[in-house]
Amino acid sequence: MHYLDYVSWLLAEHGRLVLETGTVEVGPLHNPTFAPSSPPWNMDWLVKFHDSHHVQIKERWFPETRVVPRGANVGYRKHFSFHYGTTNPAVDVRGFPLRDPRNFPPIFRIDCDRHGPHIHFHGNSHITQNRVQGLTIKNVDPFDFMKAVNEHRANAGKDFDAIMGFKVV
Amino acid sequence: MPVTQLAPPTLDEIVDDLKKFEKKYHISTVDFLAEDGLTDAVDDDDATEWLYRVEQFRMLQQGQHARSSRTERATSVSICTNVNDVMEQLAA
Repeated sequence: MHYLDYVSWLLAEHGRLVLETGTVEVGPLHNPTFAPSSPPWNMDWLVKFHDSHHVQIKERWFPETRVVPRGANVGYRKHFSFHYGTTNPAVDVRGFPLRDPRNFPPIFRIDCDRHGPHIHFHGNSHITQNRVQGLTIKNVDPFDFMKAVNEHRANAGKDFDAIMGFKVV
Repeated sequence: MPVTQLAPPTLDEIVDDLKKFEKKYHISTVDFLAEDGLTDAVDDDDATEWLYRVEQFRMLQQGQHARSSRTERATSVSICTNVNDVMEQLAA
């Protein structure tokens, strides 16, 4: 994907997103390494709900060098994390909650990091793709995740596996 | 808050971030990369960010090299393409 296409997509999807009353956002903040439009780039986004829960989104896009010349300015999403959970009141300079998985573990989290794609669900960490049926983890985008959180919050008791159509085996 | 584009980082800012990770974990960037960023001593989120900063560093170095070539500047900037180059650039 080209950076400018990514930004267009981000603007369009964010514009369509409906958040509950009392929600505060920081971002989405997208940040190219070069001006105006070459990879790598990143995106960070915080959505704080009124009840000390939040969503934190991170994406890290790297230059795509495997199938196209570097000059084509195409990026691919190498790493991401989508986190939903209770909010650590300690924040960084941007207002993003500091990471403290021991005291503020995720309620639901989707990651693609150095360990590859995996989820954190029902207190189980690093549930890898081979144990998750019905969901291709690496293809989930931030707005899939935000919509799932919205549905979860709007329907108390409806869990993320039912919302996103996956099963842990 | 609307969708917002932040200003690109400078090379100095990226190097500062790399040094912060090295100081926090008492591991050089080279050693971190030598293990493909998989060392258990480093938090997962920090590892993601560390790897990203290395990529930014590498690409900015290449960008500097390209600009240098175009303007025929006398000072050449080495292209940072592998772990050893990263080490040399950080040590410089």
